[in-house]
Amino acid sequence: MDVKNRSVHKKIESKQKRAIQYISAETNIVLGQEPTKHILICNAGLALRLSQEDVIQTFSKYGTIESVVMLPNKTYCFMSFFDKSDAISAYNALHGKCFFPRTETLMVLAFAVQVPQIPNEWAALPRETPPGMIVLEDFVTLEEEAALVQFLKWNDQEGQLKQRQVQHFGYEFRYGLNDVDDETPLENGIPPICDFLQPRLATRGHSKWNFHPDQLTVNRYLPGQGIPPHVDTHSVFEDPILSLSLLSDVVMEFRDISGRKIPVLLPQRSLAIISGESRYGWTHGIASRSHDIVCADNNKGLTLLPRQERVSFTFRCLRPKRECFCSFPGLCDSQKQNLFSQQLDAIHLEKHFVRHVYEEISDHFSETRHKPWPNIVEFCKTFRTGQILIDVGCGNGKYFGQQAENVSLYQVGIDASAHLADVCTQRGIEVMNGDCVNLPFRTGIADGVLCIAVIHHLASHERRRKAIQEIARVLCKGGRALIYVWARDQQSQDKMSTYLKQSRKNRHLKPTSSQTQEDSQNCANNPGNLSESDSNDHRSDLPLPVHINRTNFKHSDVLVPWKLKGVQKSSESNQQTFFRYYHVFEADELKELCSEVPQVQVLETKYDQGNWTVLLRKLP
Amino acid sequence: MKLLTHNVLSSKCLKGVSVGYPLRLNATDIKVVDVDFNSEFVSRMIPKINYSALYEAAQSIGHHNGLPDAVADDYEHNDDFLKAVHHVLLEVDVVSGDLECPESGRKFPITRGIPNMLVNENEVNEINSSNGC
Repeated sequence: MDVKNRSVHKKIESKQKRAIQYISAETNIVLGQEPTKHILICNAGLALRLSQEDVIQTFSKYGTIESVVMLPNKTYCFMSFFDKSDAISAYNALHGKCFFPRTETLMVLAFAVQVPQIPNEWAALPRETPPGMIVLEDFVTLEEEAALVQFLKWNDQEGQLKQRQVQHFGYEFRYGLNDVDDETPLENGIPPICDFLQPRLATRGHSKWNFHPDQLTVNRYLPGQGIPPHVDTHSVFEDPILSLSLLSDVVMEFRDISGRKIPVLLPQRSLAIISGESRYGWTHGIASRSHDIVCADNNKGLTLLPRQERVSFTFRCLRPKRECFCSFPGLCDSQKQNLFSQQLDAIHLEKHFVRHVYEEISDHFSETRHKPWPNIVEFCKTFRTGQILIDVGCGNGKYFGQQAENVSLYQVGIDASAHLADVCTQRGIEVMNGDCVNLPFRTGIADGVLCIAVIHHLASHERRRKAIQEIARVLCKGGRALIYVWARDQQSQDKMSTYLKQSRKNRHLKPTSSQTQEDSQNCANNPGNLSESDSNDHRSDLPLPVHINRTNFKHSDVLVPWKLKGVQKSSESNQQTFFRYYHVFEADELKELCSEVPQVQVLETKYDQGNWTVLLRKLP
Repeated sequence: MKLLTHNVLSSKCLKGVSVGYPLRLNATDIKVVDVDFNSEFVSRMIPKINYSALYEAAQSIGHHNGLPDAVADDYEHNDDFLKAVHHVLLEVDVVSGDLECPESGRKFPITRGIPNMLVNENEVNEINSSNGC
């Protein structure tokens, strides 16, 4: 070994040593020079743009590969051979001797006792398909394949999409809209050359689909081309979707809404039946790349399959009524459309029964809001000098300046009401107008968020969740939020909430500014006067039942009256009643809502004087 | 509105806007107020804020005098620097003007010291807008 080689060798040795030390600490896997069938690739991984294909290409020369484990965002990865002897010959040939593809970095390898147990879609072989998907191999003969391909006439201009070429029969699929115009069928119907489809399905034992397609899309892919992940528009096409693969094999990737991925090999001349869950609850697509990774020869190792020209025939049936009621609303355009109009209804309701009302009652409302709540003040006192605390729905800003003594915070408030924001600025509070479902803040900026008596004014589950998502977004890692919402149940463990106690009937006292329920202070200024709604809580001019103040809630979504003091305070007739919309929360409802937002963890949940409250922490 | 508030605002929620930061600041009325200087507060705030956005905002409204264009080395012990930052962060108050989204040009008015960041439902991304197609 000459001097130069010796120094390279030394460098590689020390690199290997350091890598073993730090990767074994990180993965809890025993690593070293003792040969095993598993190899750690120390200085190349997904974070350094080494792909699984590169690993397979590099290592398959030395034996049959059992698995490759690529770790997201890591600078290292693992691979296993079936045989230890192959691992040894790869190690001897590559370690410190060969460069990684596209680099001038020498490979540093080590042996591993095992590989990390992470969900790896490529390791999940034998071939699995998403529920409801069937691949019928050899569905057409070589002669039929040739005839089908021959039948198509491609020219360079027509049907050229970014990543593939298409032809439509029956109806044209409109890409921007993802639908078809069922009023205007194409001149060319489904060609008679495809008539074999239905009888062939029957002979292959799938006669349950009396399948007579009226729409056909033919795709032609050249090597390197693909189709982005998509779901065939639910409201436009029936179940199932049939897809015939011609000229070459390809891997189609299926993905469900939770992110689970299943790659499915579609062999040349096979028919894929995509139905049920696989049709409605999974997207499918073909990656634009020049090779696919496949499990060759019945589960005997991973290899690369070079792409070739491929033609697919996708047969679909139009849905007569453009409605879908599947159980996968996350991918369902029809249900999303409904959800969208529900959101608009919710926004409309909030506008009339929350925002407008607060503008009208803001002065009176502000007068009744001065006594801060002890638990909330305690939360404010946990922050240190130089931290940022955002008050979402700050009202008149009564939680400003509640920090511990000698602590200087940057506290900023946001509220939808212009009048209440004016009240805040007059008190020297930094405030803005804004919306709790679209917070106008940078991500990760806040050490703390207060959101007191706000989320119960949002009129749909999705909007309430979005408000929590926004709080989670603006919190820094480890940042905490305190959220209060009104509880439907005003009696916990047989103790009346302060809100109920304030009823004349219950306490024989006029409600004053004693410590009161967080979002109900004075909201029935004169509960004795509500006799008109005592007998019937539905009023024909209002969209929701009206709650009787100082009583338990009969409904989850209610309008709560607010009697505005008139100019002439003594005159009863001068009192104007406004109705504020509330969604009052069931036990655990707030906690469950927060658990739909994965970025945060619920540290504490409790019932506090007629409110449900959670303390959240953003995960580091 | 203090420039510290400007420093944390973003118009990212608007449809088609990917960063929405920093917002362009136009001021038609500014007042300068006295705020007690707290060196601990300012030096803890420095790593949180976007300093170049602060500098540019101060410059755009002509209140960058004395503010260096980059964070001073060893700023925790540099009272002159901390005081200059303190002044710009907390003492310069924009009473009226507007904030403009750098990507869409949407303007958010500032009146009586209050930025109006309210948006209409048709300006923002729909809830659950992930579309598989």
